[in-house]
Amino acid sequence: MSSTSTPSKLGAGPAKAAAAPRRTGKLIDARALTMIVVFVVLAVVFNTLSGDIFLTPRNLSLLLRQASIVAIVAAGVSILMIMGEIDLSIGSSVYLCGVVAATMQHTYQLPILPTVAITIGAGLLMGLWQGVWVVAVGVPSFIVTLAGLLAFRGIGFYATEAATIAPVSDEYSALSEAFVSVPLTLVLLGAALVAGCWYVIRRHRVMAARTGRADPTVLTLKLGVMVATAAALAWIFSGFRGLPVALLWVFVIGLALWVLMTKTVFGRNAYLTGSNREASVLAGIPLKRQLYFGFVLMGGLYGIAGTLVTARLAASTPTTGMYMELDAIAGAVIGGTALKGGIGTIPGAIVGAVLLATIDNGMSILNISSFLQLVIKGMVLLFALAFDSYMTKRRG
Amino acid sequence: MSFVMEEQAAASTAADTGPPVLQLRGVGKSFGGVPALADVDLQVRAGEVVAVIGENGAGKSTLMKIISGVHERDGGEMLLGGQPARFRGVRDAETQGIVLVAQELHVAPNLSIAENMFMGMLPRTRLGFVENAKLHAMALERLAFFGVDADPSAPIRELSPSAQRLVTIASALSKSATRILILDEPTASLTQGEAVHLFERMKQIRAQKVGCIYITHRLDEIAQVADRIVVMRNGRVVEHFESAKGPIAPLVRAMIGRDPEPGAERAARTGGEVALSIKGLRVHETFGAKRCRVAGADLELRRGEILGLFGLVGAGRTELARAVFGAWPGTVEGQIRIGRDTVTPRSPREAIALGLAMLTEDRKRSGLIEGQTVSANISAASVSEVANGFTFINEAEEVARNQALIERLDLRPPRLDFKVEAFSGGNQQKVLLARWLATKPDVLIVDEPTYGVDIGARYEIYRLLRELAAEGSAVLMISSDMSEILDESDRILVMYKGRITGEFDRNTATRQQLMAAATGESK
Repeated sequence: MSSTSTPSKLGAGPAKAAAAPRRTGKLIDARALTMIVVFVVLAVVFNTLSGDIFLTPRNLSLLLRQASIVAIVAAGVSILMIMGEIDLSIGSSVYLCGVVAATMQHTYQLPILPTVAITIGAGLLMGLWQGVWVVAVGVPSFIVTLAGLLAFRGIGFYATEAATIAPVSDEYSALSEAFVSVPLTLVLLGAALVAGCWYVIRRHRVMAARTGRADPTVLTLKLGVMVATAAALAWIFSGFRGLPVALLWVFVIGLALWVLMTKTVFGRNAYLTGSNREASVLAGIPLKRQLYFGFVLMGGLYGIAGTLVTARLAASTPTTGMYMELDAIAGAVIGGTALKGGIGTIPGAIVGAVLLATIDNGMSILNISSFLQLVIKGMVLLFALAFDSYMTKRRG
Repeated sequence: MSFVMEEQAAASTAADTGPPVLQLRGVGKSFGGVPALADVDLQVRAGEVVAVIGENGAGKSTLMKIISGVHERDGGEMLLGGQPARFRGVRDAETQGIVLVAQELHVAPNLSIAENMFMGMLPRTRLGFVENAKLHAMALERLAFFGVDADPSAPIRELSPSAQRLVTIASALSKSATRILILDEPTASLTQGEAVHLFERMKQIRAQKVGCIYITHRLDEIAQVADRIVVMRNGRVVEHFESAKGPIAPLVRAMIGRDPEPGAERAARTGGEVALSIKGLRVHETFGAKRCRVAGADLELRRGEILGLFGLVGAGRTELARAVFGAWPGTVEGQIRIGRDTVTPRSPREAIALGLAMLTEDRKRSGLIEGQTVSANISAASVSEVANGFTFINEAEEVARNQALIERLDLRPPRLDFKVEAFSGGNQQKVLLARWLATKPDVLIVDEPTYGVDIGARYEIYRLLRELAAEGSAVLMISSDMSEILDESDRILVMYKGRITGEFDRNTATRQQLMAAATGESK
């Protein structure tokens, strides 16, 4: 959403040209800063109102597990949004994958690995189906995935007569609900922290060598945030059974998608096609291949999310995934993905999803009516976007 | 030319010697602490035309936006008709008689000509419905004044870009009792004939005691239209010419702050091996459409030469280029040979793989990828060259290559990490040229390469095209700018209505010959 581009037809020579990107840099920091402030404020408010229940390892561990599935699909949909597409079918697609998973587990008693493979296969097929309509037929993805939103849930209802399929085996449930033992968790966290810091420092050195102006304060801040996050996670996980496996999925998938979007040709082309599709095609970027890949990748994520949601509930229920597309898109947008394409990051989308889950979790703890929760979440999204466009305008 | 003399006579009589309608004293403006304008003085009297010239980024547009109420000034004063003026927006400025006609065409293509002309001030009945009869009559009257022969109820997209430009000016003038009319590069998309037509209309406008500010990059037309010249550089007014009839050289010097580089003399190189040949090319408007944009064109482009393709807007030059580049949505017939392959590319991707490159005409729409960095823009067509196994981008390699390119092109400021929209038009064009240089093309097609590009960058672009040709690439340069065609091409082809109507040698071609061929008068 941060349309950081400053139209510079005003024209004022190189001096002005130099100013715009620096402003952009500040804006990104402003977003990260805002996020941190919002998290802290929410934590304090929820904790005070709930009588110290919110800020317990037990609750925070639950919160993160609640956030995990939405975080995965939010990361996926942010890729499609960066390319200038959208996916409204997420909730139904994940539900249908869940039906497939539960059927394989419960009805056919398949082992875990085939179940997961078939579930992801089903997701890939759904992604391919939508990709074909968007790319080969040329129907806007808004419409194609709106059709998917209706049809995929319909298929699931028809196949199951809208019944709950349960139970699934404990081993299958463990795919999401198991915990990594506390000592191993700490080792993993430590390793991740070291790797992260190493990457950030190396990156800083490269940028300093290349541009001659890399700010050491920014580096310190980044390292500080990483250490603080790792410490907080260590406290949460060691205080409640260890690292939830569901989060391991989020971490691995998030890392993979982040690498995809920042280090590969596909990722680069995704940003370019999202920013100016016509110019990208004229520069020889294979738009169709990009779009197919994006939708099929999203399909794979349906499968993974479907697996996790079935494992988490130990069942497939007819309401699974309702409104998940909205949470995913809202999370991506709050995390900085622009609806008009070309702008957004994977970590941003994941953090956005966690922020939404925090609000959900806090409101549930406070026993706020679930009807009101919908209203509040709607308002949060609205205010987040209004605030963002205000910041962009003030600086732009 | 005789009409120029008449024009000048008319100009000197129309200008009023009374007090200025618009007066600016010490106006300044900065964006985010960076000064864009400093201490600008400007006067416009009723019935005179003041030409404001300067390179891109000199602050012309910012100044005009302040005058027309888009931006607020930071300092200085502005007097309109002797009274201090401060506008709260474009509307406010318009009601007080200041009208800006922007460089870009802002039209709603599917609405009618009349609706476009009176957008925002449609005549209404008491119930709030649009009064169509009155709208039609008003539009017809304005169109007649500007000599545009068109049905006001037809959709505006059916008009040619130049007619759309005239309609935009007509509608701007009809909005209120105009005292100051600002025209920002009105002739950029006009042909020579259409420009002359516009200048004649401007005589009528000034006769109505309207003060006119005229921004242009075409210095040769200033004498025909302006009374005085104001030269801007780096946000300041650096020089003032009380007469617009002087030679062009001092203007150029004032604009760029130094003497311009002379165009290098060189012999035409036309003997290279054929890099691109086209026989009987027909480009249909859409799939299966009968109407042809290109109706049987032949051309041969050789390595080491710059082939100029001259013609008026709509002659089919861009369509020809797009067809060769695999970027035309309609049917393409005829034989295209690229190097040794006889092949019609089906997509730009295929064309690029065959060694073609095309700098597109509409920089903002089909060239620049705004919101992304210079580096990403440069690599857009060649990212796989700096990727390991077509998957992971080797960042160090990419940066090194692109850094070398922007140094070669003298990009200012030389920053790969800046967003591309932060640069001036000329520098944006350099970024796009760098994109194609990175693909190491055998054939480079450039479509209006210096459109909206300031003089300094223009010479850089010419130098680069010459270097490329000298290195053995073939360059096809499409342009409506006759001086550019005559000065920079080794050989010249002229198109008219989808056909090649003339071939000329660079040393013997004259303006008259080119114009005759471009308007279908030869043969």
